[in-house]
Amino acid sequence: MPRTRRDLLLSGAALLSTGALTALAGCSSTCPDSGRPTAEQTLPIDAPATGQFAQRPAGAWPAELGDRANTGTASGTAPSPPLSVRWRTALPIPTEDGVGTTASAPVVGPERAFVADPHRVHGLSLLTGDREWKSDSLPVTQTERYARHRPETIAPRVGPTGRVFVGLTDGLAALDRADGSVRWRVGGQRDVAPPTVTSDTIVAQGDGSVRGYALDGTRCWERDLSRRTSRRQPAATADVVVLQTETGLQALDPATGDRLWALERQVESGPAIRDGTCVFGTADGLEAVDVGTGRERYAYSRREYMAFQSLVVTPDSVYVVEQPPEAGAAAFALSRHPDGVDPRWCSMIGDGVLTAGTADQVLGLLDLGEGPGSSHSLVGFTADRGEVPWAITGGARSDTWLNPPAVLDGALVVTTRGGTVLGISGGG
Amino acid sequence: MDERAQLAGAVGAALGGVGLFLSALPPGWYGATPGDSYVFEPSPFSPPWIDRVLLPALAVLGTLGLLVGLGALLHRDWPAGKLLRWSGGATLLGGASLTVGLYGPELVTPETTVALTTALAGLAIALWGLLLSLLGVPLLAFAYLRAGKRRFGWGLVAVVPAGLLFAWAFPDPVGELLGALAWVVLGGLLAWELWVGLPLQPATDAP
Repeated sequence: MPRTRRDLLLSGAALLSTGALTALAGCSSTCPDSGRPTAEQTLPIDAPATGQFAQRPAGAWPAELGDRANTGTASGTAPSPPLSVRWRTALPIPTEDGVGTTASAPVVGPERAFVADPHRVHGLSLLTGDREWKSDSLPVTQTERYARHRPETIAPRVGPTGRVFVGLTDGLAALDRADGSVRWRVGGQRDVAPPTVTSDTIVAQGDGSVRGYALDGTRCWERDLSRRTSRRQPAATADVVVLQTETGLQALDPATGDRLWALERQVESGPAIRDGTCVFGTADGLEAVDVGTGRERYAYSRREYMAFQSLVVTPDSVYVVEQPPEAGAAAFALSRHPDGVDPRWCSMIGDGVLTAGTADQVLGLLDLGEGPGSSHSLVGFTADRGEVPWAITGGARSDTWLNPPAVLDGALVVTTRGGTVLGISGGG
Repeated sequence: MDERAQLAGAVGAALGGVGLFLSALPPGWYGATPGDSYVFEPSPFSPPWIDRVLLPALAVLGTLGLLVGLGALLHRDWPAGKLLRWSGGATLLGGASLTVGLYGPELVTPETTVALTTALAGLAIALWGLLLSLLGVPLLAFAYLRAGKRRFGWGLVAVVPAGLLFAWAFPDPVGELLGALAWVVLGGLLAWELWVGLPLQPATDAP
């Protein structure tokens, strides 16, 4: 139907009013960037596999967030173009109406990669991608809320001796890394998050409680927590474990469970610890406290109501996603110095997240492209200028969405929600 | 003193035209391409630094140069009548307001996004400046046309619209270059008039 001049004027007025109201509400990001990034190389997840890794990629990724301190940092270098798929394995995960969307993010131990679904854990050869074992049926914990860039099932956790720990809806289990057999299993907790492991203590945070176990599964201590606590791995050093709770943060002695300090905050990102500083995102920015005492070291805010989420903390940078109340998010690279942080670059990422980093890159999950043609992608940003040398693209269907990767030296292990596991190498 | 002011105005206008020309060059010509991210402190002389620091400075200085030239012209021809004084004043004020409105918000809040109130204030000032310029420039041109300075009068009113028209009509980069050249022509016209042209005769209504 042809539009009249009056219709056009009314539409224009409505558009202007909406724009003005949105702007007046101060809802947009503080990042001056506009538009999604464009990758120099795009690697689809169904690209032909070029064959197994010539040798095991160096490095390890024992937890979904990289290490026990939740820094999301790998010690080696991230892969650089040209990326290639070395192997691809489809795991038989549970399906609903023929579609499975519950595979976890991968973790990597000495020889294998491990992936969970709501009913078990799978062990795959890191070299070839062959599935070497599946565990007996286990009720693996599901994440607490639906999020487009977060897997629905929590990841397993590789301990210091290579043993695989997995949080369950009714407790915690330890699996033999060689064959996936259950070495011990304890109950009495609900919806246990991936545990963090210090040198001789496993700290398991469940819904309403936190427990410390010896490596053989003996319970050492227990503390009550508020309900609806986080289902993310607590951050830990050898001396302190920091939990995200309903009311903020709590720091405990991992050996005894004694409370060291507590902070009441609206915490938007799980805590990460580096160089004696515990960093976390809040509803208004970033805060850093002394991990031993909880005293503030610095705070950084872009603007009121700009929440900081999905932290990655490398030796020289803090990467964070600024999430405005009602608009697209932006990834920020902040340079660390003794008194705080300074912005280095930022990039609009829509509803994306940052998942991991190295000295040279930070990795994020976001949609590349606009509209129906957009694809759920894992993207590498260069650390210095935020350029995007590569992207691994999934698809529009939820079973092809990518999970946070395991980052090794020059290689990645990536899973899709549908249970496809890929070994990816860089540099040819 | 008048001669010195005229010389300063002519040099300011000529350099201002060149500055605005340089600031209007297509970013691709000096290697600035839209990046994947916004870099907060680009290294000096890198393409994003040229794009975000050097060229806006050149644009501001260029506009100031043109305004100095226009001011010198107005000073020279002040006795020529009310129309010239009012239209010249409006043009000067309009140009200054437009510059403040466009560049002021960025200058007072560097390295962050401009606060909404600052941005709205800048927009209001810029719109006010545009309105004054749209009224002032044609009337100023008419004043010079009426005084017999046909080439300068037509140039004053036609050069910038012609540049915009060429920029729209021709494919890039030719269109962008022609659009940018309009500022050189305008600066040159002002400088020529100040340096070579004769002052207007005082009007009978002059005080």
